[in-house]
Amino acid sequence: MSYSKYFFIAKIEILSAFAYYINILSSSVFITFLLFIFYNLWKAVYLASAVTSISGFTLVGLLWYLTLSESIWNSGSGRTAVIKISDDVKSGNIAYYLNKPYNFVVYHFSSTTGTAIIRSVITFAFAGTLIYFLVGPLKITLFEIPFVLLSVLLAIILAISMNFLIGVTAFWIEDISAFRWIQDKLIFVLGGMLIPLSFFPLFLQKIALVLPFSYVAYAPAYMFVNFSVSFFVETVLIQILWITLFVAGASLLYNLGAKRVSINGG
Amino acid sequence: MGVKGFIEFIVAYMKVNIQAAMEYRSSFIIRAVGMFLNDAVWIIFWAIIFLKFQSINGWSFNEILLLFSFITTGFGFATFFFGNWQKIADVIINGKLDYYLTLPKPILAHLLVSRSEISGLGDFAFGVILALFVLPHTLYAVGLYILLTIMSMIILVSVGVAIGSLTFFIGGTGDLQDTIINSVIAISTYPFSIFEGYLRIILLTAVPIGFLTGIPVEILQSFNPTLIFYMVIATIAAVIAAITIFKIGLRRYESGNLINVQV
Repeated sequence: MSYSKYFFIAKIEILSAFAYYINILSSSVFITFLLFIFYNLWKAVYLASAVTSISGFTLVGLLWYLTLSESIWNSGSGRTAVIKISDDVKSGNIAYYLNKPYNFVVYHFSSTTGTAIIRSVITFAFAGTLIYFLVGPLKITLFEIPFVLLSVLLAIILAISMNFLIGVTAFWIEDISAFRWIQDKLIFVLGGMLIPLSFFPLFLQKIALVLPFSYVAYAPAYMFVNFSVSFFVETVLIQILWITLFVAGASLLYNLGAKRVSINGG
Repeated sequence: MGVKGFIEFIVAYMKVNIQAAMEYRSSFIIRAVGMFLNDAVWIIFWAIIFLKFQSINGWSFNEILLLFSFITTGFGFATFFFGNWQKIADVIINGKLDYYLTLPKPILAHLLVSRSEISGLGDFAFGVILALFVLPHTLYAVGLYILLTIMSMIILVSVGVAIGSLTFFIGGTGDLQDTIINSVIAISTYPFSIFEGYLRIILLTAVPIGFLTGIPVEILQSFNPTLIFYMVIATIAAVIAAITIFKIGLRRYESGNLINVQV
């Protein structure tokens, strides 16, 4: 099977995302704005606590942590594609995918990953600029950057895999929006997107670390602020494991769902 | 149209919205319960913060619960009964305003009530249940809470109308409207006390976000009559500003070439 068509699909989706650049810019501005709120919130907390470090995070470290975790989330992680799968199942448009000469699972990843990475980079550029001016730079060595980037890439792919799994449940449950809201919020809290897991009570930290959500936000963002090779190796291995499980689950469900699809009308 | 006729018209639409929601029971349950759980996760987030820190600039967990009660009740009610409050840009861009212009009903009110989002009921139920837990069980506190929730909801809808109506002047795709409305809601879910200085003044005047949750929470804590007076003034000002911006903008409306069918 030739994979060149999937690169072509990725290229078209990226060009399409740039055509609607206002959408990417406005969501990046929103995340930057959220970080401004976080700056006000955590500045008040650190001032009131009269300490320079809370659970191993300085104010500077915490804000850069949040900048990266928010940028990963704002990649979109195939959320639009999920809504599209659900809409296509409901409208019957899914029929157009079923007879195309491509693997739908690979198609899904090629059409979402490129755009997600670009959205993430643009968000980080916007939000990072604000945080740089508010609290200054984060101390990070050039050696660490490629490792963090690899984990961020895997985090984005993991989030896309999770969303894909939710998307294919549309074959059975037509309205999947509630699943998406709850998954988003689980990433916000148990995934450590809004607050590092280190701030949690110990029992909740243990639960959160077992779940996949923390490998979307917490692990790469923590690595960005407190890098260690052992944490990197552990994180990447777990990220790959979860991606494999979600992709396998989603592929299985898709194949089962596609067999039972019945199209109404034309 | 007289005041009586106007109220009857709005109530009739509200009834239809409830009947329509009940028609698709499984979707109704999934969306309403889903939104309820979605809101509950925010409370877990704040519980984690307040387990670690006793207060944030004078706000405790109790104030946060009250804050979420105000925003979810108001947002839920507005989203269910005045579902177009955050969709005005889309209506303008897609030329859907034509439908409302041709009917002998108040345009803005008709536009607002003619869309309903079921998930709003989940938000509303969440806010009411939260209020049962945190409100003092006195008639005065409950009465004040209901009054403040209504005013907060009116301000929210007015802000949505004003922001959406900017599309009449600057065009665009609606992304700007969504970004500003999301930002307004985001600010209103954080303790108002973290915003200080000029920022606080802006949030109480130019963009009256402080009146969505911050001031109502302070009123219920202090029962300060001056703050209640400011809240009433802010509500009236927000409504006048929203209607004025919408009306001025409407004069610039040029419709479009899309054919829409209202069902």
